[in-house]
Amino acid sequence: MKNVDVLIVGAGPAGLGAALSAHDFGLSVLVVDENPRAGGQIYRALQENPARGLGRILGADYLAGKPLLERFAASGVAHLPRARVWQIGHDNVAYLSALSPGPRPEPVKARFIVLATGAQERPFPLPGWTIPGAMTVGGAQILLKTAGLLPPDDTVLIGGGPLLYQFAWQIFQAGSRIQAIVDTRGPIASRPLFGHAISALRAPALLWRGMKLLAAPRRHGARRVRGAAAIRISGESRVDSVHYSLQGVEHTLETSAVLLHAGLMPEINFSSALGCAHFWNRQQHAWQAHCSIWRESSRPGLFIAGDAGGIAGAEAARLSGSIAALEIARQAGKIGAPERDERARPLFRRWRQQLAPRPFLDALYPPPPECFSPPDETIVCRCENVTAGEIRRAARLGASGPNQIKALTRAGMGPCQGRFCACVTAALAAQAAGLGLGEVAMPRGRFPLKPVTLEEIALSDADGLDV
Amino acid sequence: MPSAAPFKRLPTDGGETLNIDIDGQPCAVDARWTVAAALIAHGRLACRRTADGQARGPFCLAGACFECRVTIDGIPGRQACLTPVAPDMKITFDDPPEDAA
Ligand SMILES: Cc1cc2nc3c(=O)[nH]c(=O)nc-3n(C[C@H](O)[C@H](O)[C@H](O)COP(=O)(O)OP(=O)(O)OC[C@H]3O[C@@H](n4cnc5c(N)ncnc54)[C@H](O)[C@@H]3O)c2cc1C
Repeated sequence: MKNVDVLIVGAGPAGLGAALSAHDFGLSVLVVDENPRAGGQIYRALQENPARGLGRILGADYLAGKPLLERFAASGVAHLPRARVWQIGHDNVAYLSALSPGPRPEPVKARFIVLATGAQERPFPLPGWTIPGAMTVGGAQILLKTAGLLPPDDTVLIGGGPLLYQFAWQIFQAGSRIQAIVDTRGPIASRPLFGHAISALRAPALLWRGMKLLAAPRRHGARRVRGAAAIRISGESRVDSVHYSLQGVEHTLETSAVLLHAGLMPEINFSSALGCAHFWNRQQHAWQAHCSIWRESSRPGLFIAGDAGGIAGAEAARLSGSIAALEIARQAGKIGAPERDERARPLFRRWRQQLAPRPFLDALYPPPPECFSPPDETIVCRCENVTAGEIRRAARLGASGPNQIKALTRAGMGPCQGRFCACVTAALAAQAAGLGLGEVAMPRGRFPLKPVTLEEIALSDADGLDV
Repeated sequence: MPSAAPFKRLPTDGGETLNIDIDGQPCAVDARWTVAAALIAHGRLACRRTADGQARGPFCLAGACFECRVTIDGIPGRQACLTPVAPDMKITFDDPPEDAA
């Protein structure tokens, strides 16, 4: 067993921000991440681009991560790449599995744990979303960042939100094209949006960039369809078309690839499996862990930094990691409360600036209705092939929440452990019971968080396991 | 069905290339790629079938969805999106027997 002061799960901006600050206070730190390189989602492969000019194509936000990654590399903080934390036991021992050949990493006992596990793309179940050639926008962006691969020229993007338009812009920057963006945004309720726009004006650079991103598709010959309904994807072993209706008229776009994006949600598998308190964030339509201003969860010594604790973007993630480290340093006796507060003040100021435009962005791009109420024939649980119709039936039979529906239908029992269906199942359960989205039981993560071998389980503390 | 348009590769910065075997076909790939990137660059978007015969392939590319499971050097169920390519790696696809459909 290895002992450290601070274990950080995730080497994105939040994890690196926390690691560098905690290290500066003389605490021993270990950062664990599934990926081969530090950087997380946004700065993925930044130090090892596989293609020429990729930095320019991906843009200034991407390149902005360079100093952070360089500081981390120079800091000497221990970094264990290609390793996955799959359980945290009651005694704050984390169990790891290796994604590369070689010895199994030792369990790690930590005084403090920072979950900096980021966000995931919100599941966007459409009929046909399981057909090969249908991927997430984030997934296609990972292919661009890590492999220099661009989607086919006839690609159709479906959904909305900043990340979708940012990726389209990156494709155009690369000199490539797409066929169309089917934007699912409905009519805008302008009054609340106007209020949020005022606060967003505190971040003019972001608004300006947003306008540039929205104007790009037309300038690059991509069709932009708005107000599409009844969207479905068809094909056998490969996507061949997207269908939608516009004011009652059916349209078909032939295509080789479909990229879906319906926004981001915090990764709450750890915090929910650990029984931390959560609440339903109405603006972001997602469950989120309760945290103190120092990012400490309801479980003492467990901190949640970055997008894992609420979607706020890369710079806010880095700042929240540093903020968490200040409180960890105080609890570890390295600094007193006055010094913590003194150092935190500028961080909180910048953090609030980063948060200012969020309500506007959240209101501008609420999740499309399909995310909560897909048509009956749609496969909701991709792993176990459970359709929305089957889940609705189970809910009508009296299964009162996602956890019971799971037992009845197997939805959420596959290897992805509900990452791509649990929130949809919860929404369907809420509708069947006539409740609001946040009023049903929250889908709970279960250890092991990702499939592990029986041998790995045998070697861990099986008591803490909930299998 | 018209043949699908391919994913395209940006000009490489001249990194190392290595050879792997995808379903019996020799393929040259960038040494920094994942298996999923190699499959997609070579037009193999479907990489397994569900018990009832539906084709599935890489979806999230981030290690979360488990759709891109393939057999790598004889070990089934490996996530293509989290596995870097290696010289002479052999990738095959886990299709269930016909009668499982
Ligand atoms: C697919 C995707 C693409 C995105 N692209 C962009 C973009 O281009 N620009 C942008 O501004 N924002 C992007 N975002 C938003 C992004 O969430 C934030 O900008 C920022 O990266 C958040 O930083 P973070 O440190 O909180 O989390 P992340 O950067 O997501 O880092 C979390 C890290 O935790 C690791 N991890 C998670 N679970 C485990 C585990 N159990 N064991 C080991 N490691 C684990 C992951 O591998 C990951 O590296 C993207 C989000 C997603 C989901």
